[in-house]
Amino acid sequence: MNSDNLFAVIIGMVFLAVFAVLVILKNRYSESRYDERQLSARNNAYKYSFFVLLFYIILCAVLDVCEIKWAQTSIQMLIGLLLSVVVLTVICIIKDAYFGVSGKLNVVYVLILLAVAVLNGCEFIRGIQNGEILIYNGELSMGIFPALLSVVFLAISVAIMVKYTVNKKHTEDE
Amino acid sequence: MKNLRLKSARAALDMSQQNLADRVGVSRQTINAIEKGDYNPTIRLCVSICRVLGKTLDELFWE
Repeated sequence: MNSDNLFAVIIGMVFLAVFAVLVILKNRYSESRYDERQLSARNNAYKYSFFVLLFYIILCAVLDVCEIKWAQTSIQMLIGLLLSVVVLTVICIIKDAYFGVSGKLNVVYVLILLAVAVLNGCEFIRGIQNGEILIYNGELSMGIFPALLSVVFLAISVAIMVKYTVNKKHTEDE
Repeated sequence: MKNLRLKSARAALDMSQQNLADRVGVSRQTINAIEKGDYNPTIRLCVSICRVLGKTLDELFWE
């Protein structure tokens, strides 16, 4: 690992640690909580997410045994991670079990998601312009990862906004 | 099966789903799901709804 990568990993770890502390503090002091239906929906979402990840891991293992190389190991792991997170998040959003009892749209949260999507999209484009290799020896390489992240964050942002619009319409129709 | 008795009891008090949800301490979508018959509430939530609407369990939830 060269010094640039090491620096990026350290920055990433610091960001993750700060984010984890913020989440813990938010859960401890905020009013955000879930009612019984939302908890049930979240339980189901965790279940689906787990089985999607399980199926994906089995699929990767089978492809590996058959010596079908389609992506580097690190990318395979990251895709599995993103896949399970997307399933969990989108099911929670669809079942109105994402923003707690208040159901209020957190605009700052959505803007952060969109910003992450755009930044990763820009990073992907910059990588292509700089000649980043996306497929090496028939395997997806790490160069594709910003594009995957961008798609995931964009999908979650869009799901939140669509659900919010639908809910708002239902409230007005009531 | 839709719970029309809950809906009419709520409407009789001129309460919106959001008002009832706030009083009971659940989300508006949960009240909506109960009225549409998409969700079977626990006995604890049923009792809370009955208390807010001034009805008995039989009147709102017994078939």
